Amino acid sequence: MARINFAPWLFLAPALLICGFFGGVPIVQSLILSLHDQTGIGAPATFVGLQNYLDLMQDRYFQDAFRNTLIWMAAFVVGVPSLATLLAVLLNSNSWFESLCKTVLFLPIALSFSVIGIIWQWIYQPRIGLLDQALTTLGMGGLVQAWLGPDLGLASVIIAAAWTQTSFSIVIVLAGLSGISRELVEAARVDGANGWTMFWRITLPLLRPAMMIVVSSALIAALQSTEIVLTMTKGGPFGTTDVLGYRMYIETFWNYRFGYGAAVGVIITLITATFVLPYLRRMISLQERDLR
Amino acid sequence: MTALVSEQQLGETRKLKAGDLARRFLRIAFLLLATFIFFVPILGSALTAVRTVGDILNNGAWALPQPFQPDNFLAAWRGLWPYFRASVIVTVPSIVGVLLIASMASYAISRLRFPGRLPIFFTLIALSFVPIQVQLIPIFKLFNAIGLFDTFYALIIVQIMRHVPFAVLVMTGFFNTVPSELREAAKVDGASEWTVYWRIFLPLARPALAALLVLEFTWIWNDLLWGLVLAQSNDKRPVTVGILTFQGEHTLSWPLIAAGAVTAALPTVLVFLMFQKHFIRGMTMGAVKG
Repeated sequence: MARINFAPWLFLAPALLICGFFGGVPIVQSLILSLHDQTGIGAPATFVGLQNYLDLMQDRYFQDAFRNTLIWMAAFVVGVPSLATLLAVLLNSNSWFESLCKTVLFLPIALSFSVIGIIWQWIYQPRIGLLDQALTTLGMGGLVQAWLGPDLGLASVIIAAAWTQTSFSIVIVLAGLSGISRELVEAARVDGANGWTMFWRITLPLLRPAMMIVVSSALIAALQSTEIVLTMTKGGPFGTTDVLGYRMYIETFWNYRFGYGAAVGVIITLITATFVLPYLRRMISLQERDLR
Repeated sequence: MTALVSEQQLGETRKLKAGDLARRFLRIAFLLLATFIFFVPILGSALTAVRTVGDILNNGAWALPQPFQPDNFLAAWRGLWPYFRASVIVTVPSIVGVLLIASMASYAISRLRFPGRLPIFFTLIALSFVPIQVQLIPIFKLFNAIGLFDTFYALIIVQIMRHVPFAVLVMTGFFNTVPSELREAAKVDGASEWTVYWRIFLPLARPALAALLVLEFTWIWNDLLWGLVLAQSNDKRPVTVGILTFQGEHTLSWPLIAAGAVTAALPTVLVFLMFQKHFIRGMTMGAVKG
């Protein structure tokens, strides 16, 4: 009989227990719950099949939240990686000026969504807020808008969220840039490549791994955005800033529709999986090489 | 002839230099502008935090404080300190738990051989991408059922669960770089697996642990959703939830709210400013490698 080596399992036990029991099992439970109707924590759960999902398709609130989430994802996936790459390329130096800029540009990463939400509410506050006051002071009072109103609300919240997401992305792109060998860049320069050619032909292709992280985390952040909506607008006015994550929170913890909320959670998870899986597969093949 | 050529070359270099200078100027101007735009929200909030409502209404949001009102911070601290206490009680054990549990698991994954090693590792990594929205309800129900709802234990367990996967990714990557001779030599000398982990690998991993410490502190301290869902009484709610309550209690008193936001942000901002290098290293260790 082969002797079982217990040591690895003892080392793994705490991680597997906590992550499996509190992280993995809930996924299955949410899936099952989403096929049930349950209103409130002690209430009986009745099996309804796919009814929750069918209801969601007809639900105006859900439709709005879904559309807003798609807009958010599109804005993030285009805006955040390009702005972060532009800034990172310009910042890629360790002299005092660039270091100072980096510290300031990275600062939003350290802030919670509660604080970010409060700061940006104050920025967008009608008339007396930081933005309207800045515009008035600079003689551009004509540009004053209802920033968190039904027309601009979604864009304003997305900008607030992009503030910290871009900070995070600059860090990742800079790390990618520091991995590009100097010899390669020098060789290209000797061969007569100008800055523009160099960026498109050398830098950007070599940044692929970093860009993959930046793009997928932008997509995940947009898709799962909940907290910034909760702190800034609560989905309003009239659902114009509602998103999937916030819908899940409201349906569950305000309307006590547990099965319905779980269905929204499952939908978020399924969409996440479609674009996380390719990234995960790549990561796994890299790790497999390291772990052989 | 040679003189002519060199003259021409000289001219070209000079032209290039002028172009370089213009480009450098543009770059610096753009960076200054971008940095300023990124900083304005923080600057404006900090400025608001030391003013009075009357001052803002009379002189506008961008005027210098008249009067200078640092007392706002006292009021903010008085309102927020119970939440700070809760945040500390949740964050400290969570970080210790994450670092210990993740480094143990990583040691096994990186150094020991056992069936299912890679699938287990990949499952753990995959868990770090699972949306919180699909875990919230079952965990909320579970903690209600077992009487842990509205306790610090619930928040600590959940924070550990959410953050171990990323820490495993970072620690495994680090342990993979440790020469295998170290463990073999210690084993020959009769050291147990635990001794090798505790006495050799953990001390070696200090840079990775420091990076994770700073990152996890920021992430766990800044969590909002779990605190909102799993804690109900005021003395259990973390400062991220507390600041929203504080905002609700002082509607439209923006100086007080801003002072509260600055106060709430202070711990993570200070840690970030002091340990920026660790912070960045932790992020890149977990991210770019993958």
